[in-house]
Amino acid sequence: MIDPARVLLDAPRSPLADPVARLDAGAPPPPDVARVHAAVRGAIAEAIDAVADGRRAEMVLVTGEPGMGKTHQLAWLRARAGGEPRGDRPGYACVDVPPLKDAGAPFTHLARYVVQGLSAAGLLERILWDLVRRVAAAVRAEADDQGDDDVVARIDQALVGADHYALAFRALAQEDPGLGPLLYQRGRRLPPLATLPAEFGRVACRITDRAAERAIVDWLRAAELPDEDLALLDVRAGVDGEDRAFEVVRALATCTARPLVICLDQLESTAGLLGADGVARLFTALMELYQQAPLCIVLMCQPQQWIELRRDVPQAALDRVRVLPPLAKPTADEAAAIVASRLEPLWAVAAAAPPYPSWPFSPAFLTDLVGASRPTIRQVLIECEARLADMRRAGRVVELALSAPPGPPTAIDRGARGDRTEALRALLDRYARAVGERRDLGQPKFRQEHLREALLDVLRGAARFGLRLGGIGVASVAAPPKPRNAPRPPAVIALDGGGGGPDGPWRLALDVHGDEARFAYHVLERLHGAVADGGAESAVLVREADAPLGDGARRSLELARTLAETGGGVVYLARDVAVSLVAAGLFLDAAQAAEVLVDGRQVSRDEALAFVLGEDPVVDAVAAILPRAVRIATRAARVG
Amino acid sequence: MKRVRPAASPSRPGAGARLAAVEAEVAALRERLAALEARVGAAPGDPELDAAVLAAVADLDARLRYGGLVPIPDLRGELRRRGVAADDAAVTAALERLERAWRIDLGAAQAPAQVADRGAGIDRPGRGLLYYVTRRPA
Repeated sequence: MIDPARVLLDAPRSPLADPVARLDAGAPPPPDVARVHAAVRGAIAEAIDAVADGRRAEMVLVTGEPGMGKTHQLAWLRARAGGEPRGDRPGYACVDVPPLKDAGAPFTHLARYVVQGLSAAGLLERILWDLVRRVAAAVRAEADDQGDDDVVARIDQALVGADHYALAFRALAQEDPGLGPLLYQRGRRLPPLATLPAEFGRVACRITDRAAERAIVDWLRAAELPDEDLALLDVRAGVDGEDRAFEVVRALATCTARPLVICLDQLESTAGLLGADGVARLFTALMELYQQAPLCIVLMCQPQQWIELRRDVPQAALDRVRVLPPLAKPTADEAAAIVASRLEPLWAVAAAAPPYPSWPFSPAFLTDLVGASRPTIRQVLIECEARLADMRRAGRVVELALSAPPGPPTAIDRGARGDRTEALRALLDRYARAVGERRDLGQPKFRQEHLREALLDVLRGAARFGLRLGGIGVASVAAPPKPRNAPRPPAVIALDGGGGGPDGPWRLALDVHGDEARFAYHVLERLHGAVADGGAESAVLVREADAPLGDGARRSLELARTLAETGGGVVYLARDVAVSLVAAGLFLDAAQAAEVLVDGRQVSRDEALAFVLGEDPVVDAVAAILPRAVRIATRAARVG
Repeated sequence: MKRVRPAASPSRPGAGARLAAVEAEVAALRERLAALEARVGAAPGDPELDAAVLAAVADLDARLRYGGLVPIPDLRGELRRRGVAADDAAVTAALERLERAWRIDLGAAQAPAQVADRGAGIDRPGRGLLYYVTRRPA
């Protein structure tokens, strides 16, 4: 018989560690998630069913204190998403939308992450092909009625079998690249195209042209396409405005057969970053979608924050959002079930049989623990983990009967716990590993916005704390919001040291671009314009080294050379550096949402920011953007 | 046949006796009034107070759309408006009793320095300033 105490002592890592669900988007949620908050899962499932059955929108808000498992519930929801049916119910598509950081462009933000989320899940192309197949069926039926045998015969070359043969349809339809434009022309007045925005339908039908397939996804996710790609899609402009971005989300929600679930975790982060105006704009955008698109919106927020935020939420949105009661603190039985479910895999692997499932944490101990302090789920795990850590250090497992506080810290204990910086560094490393593994952040273009926000966060932090980067200080960071129907202007960083306008600091226009090199022209043009218009003295475009401006991007290279003459140009970040910065940004978001804990104590965003600013790899990466501008600024200041 | 004479009717009382009777009547009324006053103003028993607290929480939540999280100062005010004659200590005791019975959760203020009425919360070492009450699912 295997000794369960030995199993606990020999486990390579504590089974009670509470992973941060937000990080490991692809990892399954902890086993206890399915055993708590059943009412929340039931309410969300009801909402998804209502979207599927009634083709109408639902909006559900889940509130819960930090550590009550909101993000884990989203992970659970995400883990069950996909095209596959749920028993007798249809499957659903689930996308995560990070906190809004530009109050001027909520639809662009939503569209970007809806498209990227569907694409990363392998569902976007399927949705488009399903749509085009239905268009083909509608056009064929009408052509058949009209005796147009040529069109019927042409469609019959591709349209085989029942609806679920979408991939067979894809293979056959792409043998006839001109079929898509024909389907659009003949089908735009028929359902389903008649219910969709004309531009969306026109672009979607171009999918029968293999050369256009990738451009369609880029167009949908609001990439700035070069003219030749726009011509390929038979459109004049990209999804450059809020109206078009809204139409993209509405169209995708309308034409997908599976309900689309949009998850927005940490509403409080949006409030913290953008204030009341940002919250109001986000909810106004969600309300517009709610009224016009059949989709399920799942929101997560801390209850006390929600009390504050709801004052800024439009009444129409308040009337429609179904606010679920705050997640209830665990009872003694639930605490025992949670602890037992975390230990269960350990017992199973070792084939050990403990006296009872939550051993060595007796029911009496857990009853005492929850009765005394009414902890959150995370606090239950932290309390148990602290005691288990003591036992593992002492090399002896003792069954706990009553909730005595953990023993006084030993020398090892102090060493292990005293250094918050080490603990924070370990956390940041975990974030970086998770970012590196996440499919939805797996490409430079998918992490472009995160990278930009992280860079600006670090620069703002440097300005606030008076930190010098590469020997130069940051006076201020201005990141103008995206105009409603125009591309976002570059951020402008004012650098200390003079050398700028008549008396001002040196201003550096900055943007980040992760799309294909040939798409970089427009953003470089805006940076160039910022310098030409006198809004900045120099300009830098940050790209990842994995996405260099090659020879194919001739015009972009020319602009980059022009920018280099003013002290800017294109700065390339190595992939691991970019990933570190993205991780730092997510880490700060998590701290803003009170989800970063060290030794059971919450790490504030300020503390997290101060820590990030002390990390050499992060600071060096940001400083690497500035040197050329710094040299020129310094030289200019000397001349001045 | 001897005729039975009816009993002589009592003689009319004097002024002193009438005054004594009125005074007795007034005293009796005073006693009854005091008893009524005592009944009306008495602190409710534990079950009545617990029920009043739960009802007030449910009503405030529904009426003001608190999203399930009712501030304790608002609850105290609502109970007073309803004429529940329970002082703050009794309401605090009721809240703690209801929490022990798993009927409600008490939530600590995340920013206790910024709450509107800190004194109306419940300061508990180890838990912080308990400032919100949430009904638990039945």
